[in-house]
Amino acid sequence: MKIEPKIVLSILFISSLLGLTYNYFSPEGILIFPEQKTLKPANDSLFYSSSQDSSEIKNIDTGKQNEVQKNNKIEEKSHEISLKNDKEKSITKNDTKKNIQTEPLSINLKQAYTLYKKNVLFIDAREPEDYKAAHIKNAINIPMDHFDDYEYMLKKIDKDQQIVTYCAGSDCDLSIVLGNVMFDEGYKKLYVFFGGWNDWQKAKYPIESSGNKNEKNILK
Amino acid sequence: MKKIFSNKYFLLLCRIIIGFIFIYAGMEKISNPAEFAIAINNYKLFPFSLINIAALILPWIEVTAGILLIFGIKVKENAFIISSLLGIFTIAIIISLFRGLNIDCGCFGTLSGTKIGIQKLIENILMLLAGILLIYFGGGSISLNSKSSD
Repeated sequence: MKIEPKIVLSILFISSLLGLTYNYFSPEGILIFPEQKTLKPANDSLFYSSSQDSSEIKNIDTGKQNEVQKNNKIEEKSHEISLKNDKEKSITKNDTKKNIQTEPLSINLKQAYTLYKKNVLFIDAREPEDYKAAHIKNAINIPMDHFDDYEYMLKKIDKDQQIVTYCAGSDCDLSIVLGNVMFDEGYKKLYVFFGGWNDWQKAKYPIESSGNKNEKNILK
Repeated sequence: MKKIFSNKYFLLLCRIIIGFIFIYAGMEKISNPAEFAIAINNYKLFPFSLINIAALILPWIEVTAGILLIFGIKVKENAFIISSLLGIFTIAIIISLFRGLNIDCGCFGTLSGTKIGIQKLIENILMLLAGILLIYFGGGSISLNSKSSD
């Protein structure tokens, strides 16, 4: 009945070492210390100042390039004050950088409501049961835990459209995970609504409780 | 009763079964550490910063202990490691069941996708019993270093 602690410790130590070494060389390796996913907050100007943006984005078929140029001009004006002496080239470079998100942005309740009023697509990342019980009005359901089963729905969503993901509230990270996955799939105008269902419900913003009408909403 | 439990074939059987289960479970997790990290995170029991380390190290401990157990090397020590892990898993499942979490077990990576529940709890407790038996009796005479483990 004698257990030698030294042997136990050395087995644990060697295994840990093996694990970390393997991870270092493995193509599927992960970070040893995960970065706390603090998404950058979205700038209000994205929603308020250029209200045409979202409507323009929705009509992508009608001259995508023109829109981009328009957007650039709008933003250029605001930048001109600060960048008076810079050459035009550098300004346009800055602008294109600003137009392209490098990661999903987080938004607060107010911003979420602004986007909601603009009919932006909301995606509920919670379980189907929670979604059926009640959800943000017109939101569709892509449960992150069963993403493979719902992946087909992405095909129907336009990659240039603004999208808001949410889950239960600030303690859940399904919305962030879904946001990151969709971002990698090529959806670049992604916002994560951290307050999620809890905040929305407290604010008494429009909700609905119904079965899945996913397809209808995507195709609207 | 003691005779049955300390029977060398019975102990060998216990070692092989638990060893294979742990090797299999460990390999599944090694092949996809990111998903296993998410599975651990779902339990919401461990601090976020330690989750990736756990996801990287735990499967290797499972595999190493499993292999050594099957070969009968340092059976008591490995059985102790495995039983401790099973104890932690069991407690985690019990806490999650009480909290009403409906999450993937993550027991065999995330591929099997089994939800935690009473069945998982019973499986774990049975393996834990076998583990304790091995700590108590050692690996029996059919093992590579039977002399030192007795």
